[in-house]
Amino acid sequence: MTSTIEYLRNNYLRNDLLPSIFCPGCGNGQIINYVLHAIDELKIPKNNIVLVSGIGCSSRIPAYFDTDGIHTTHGRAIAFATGIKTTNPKLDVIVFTGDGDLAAIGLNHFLQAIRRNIDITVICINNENFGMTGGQASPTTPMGSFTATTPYQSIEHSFNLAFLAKTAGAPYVARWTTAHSREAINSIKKGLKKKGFSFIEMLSPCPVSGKRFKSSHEYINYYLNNSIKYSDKFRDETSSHLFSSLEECFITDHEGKIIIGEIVDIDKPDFHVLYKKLKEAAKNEFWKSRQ
Amino acid sequence: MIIKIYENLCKGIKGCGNCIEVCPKKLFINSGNLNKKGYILPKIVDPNQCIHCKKCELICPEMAISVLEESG
Ligand SMILES: Cc1ncc(C[n+]2csc(CCOP(=O)(O)OP(=O)(O)O)c2C)c(N)n1
Ligand code: SF4
Ligand code: SF4
Ligand code: SF4
Ligand SMILES: [Mg+2]
Repeated sequence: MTSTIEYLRNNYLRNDLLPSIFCPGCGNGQIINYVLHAIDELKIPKNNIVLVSGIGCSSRIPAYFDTDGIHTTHGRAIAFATGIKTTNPKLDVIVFTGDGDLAAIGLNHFLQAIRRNIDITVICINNENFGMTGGQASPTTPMGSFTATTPYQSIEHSFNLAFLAKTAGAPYVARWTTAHSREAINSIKKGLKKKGFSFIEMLSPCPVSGKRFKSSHEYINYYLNNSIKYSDKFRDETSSHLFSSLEECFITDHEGKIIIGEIVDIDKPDFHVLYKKLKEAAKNEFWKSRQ
Repeated sequence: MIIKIYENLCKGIKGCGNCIEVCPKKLFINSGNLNKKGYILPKIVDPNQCIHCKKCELICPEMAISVLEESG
């Protein structure tokens, strides 16, 4: 008898590469698990899936899937994904990107693809640091954090990526942590079904470079006990963590509650539908002028 | 309920330990045994108490846990 997880591994993953190269306690493997369940529950054929990533530990995720995929250059995953989806809109294109990859070097691609409403699902594995290069501060590192580049605490404000996506106009936006398994799987499914740009931000443990905690179970415990459900009352928060005052950021054992939940779920026409219409109209116009 | 831990995949309860953290019935504990890579493995105490919530299966970063309902 094949168990569900065994079936999922055999069917969708490159089993010979497991266990993964990720450090013990890394959240990247959990993201693999959630995407695995989402594509299986939606019964998306394997040959319809293209996984695209940039550079970083999290960008290694596509390598584990037995599907088409490309590991591109730092910050440019969304640009490659835009090309793939525009050329063949029938494909299901998923982007895996780190907080550094997406919000530092790649931020403009993120905003412009949302503006165009490219129909891709972007999963940002937000471990709040540059994991691969040794734990430097990233644009999502919470103010007050100690990192390799902020040994006396970070004095920079951080980005609230989910709210940024909302402001830029993404039709589907959600934020969860790796402790929220079922919620994350459901949001990935919704993102995949949504016509247009879907953004799923996943707060994720990096016990080795991020070092907020030493082990994943401590992160999971923190995520479960320190998250707060999104509602309309949250509007102007500039960080995914809720700090009541600037002073609070610098109290070292104070982490601030993480705002989680579905943040946007609306419908608006995507680029590919409008492009098809435009192409038809232009073709008709062209031939009319030659009659 | 049959709960299986694929020991060769586990990254250990020290660095990971997610299964111990999330099981509502506290069925995962330290086994005291190491796998081939030297990671400390979890073990199941009483599979009969399992409520088939599958939280352990979903939370595992290495897809190393399977929970099966015994059929017939
Ligand atoms: C053009 C370029 N600049 C810098 C780097 C070095 N670099 C490699 S990974 C990385 C940051 C990765 O951080 P993130 O995207 O958050 O991924 P994580 O490792 O945390 O998953 C950087 C700056 C690079 N590979 N290419
Ligand atoms: S450095 Fe951090 S992000 Fe990279 S594999 Fe290790 S735990 Fe994961
Ligand atoms: S969650 Fe998985 S990898 Fe982590 S300790 Fe448990 S069995 Fe091992
Ligand atoms: S299925 Fe639920 S109750 Fe059973 S072992 Fe896993 S987490 Fe515990
Ligand atoms: Mg990162």
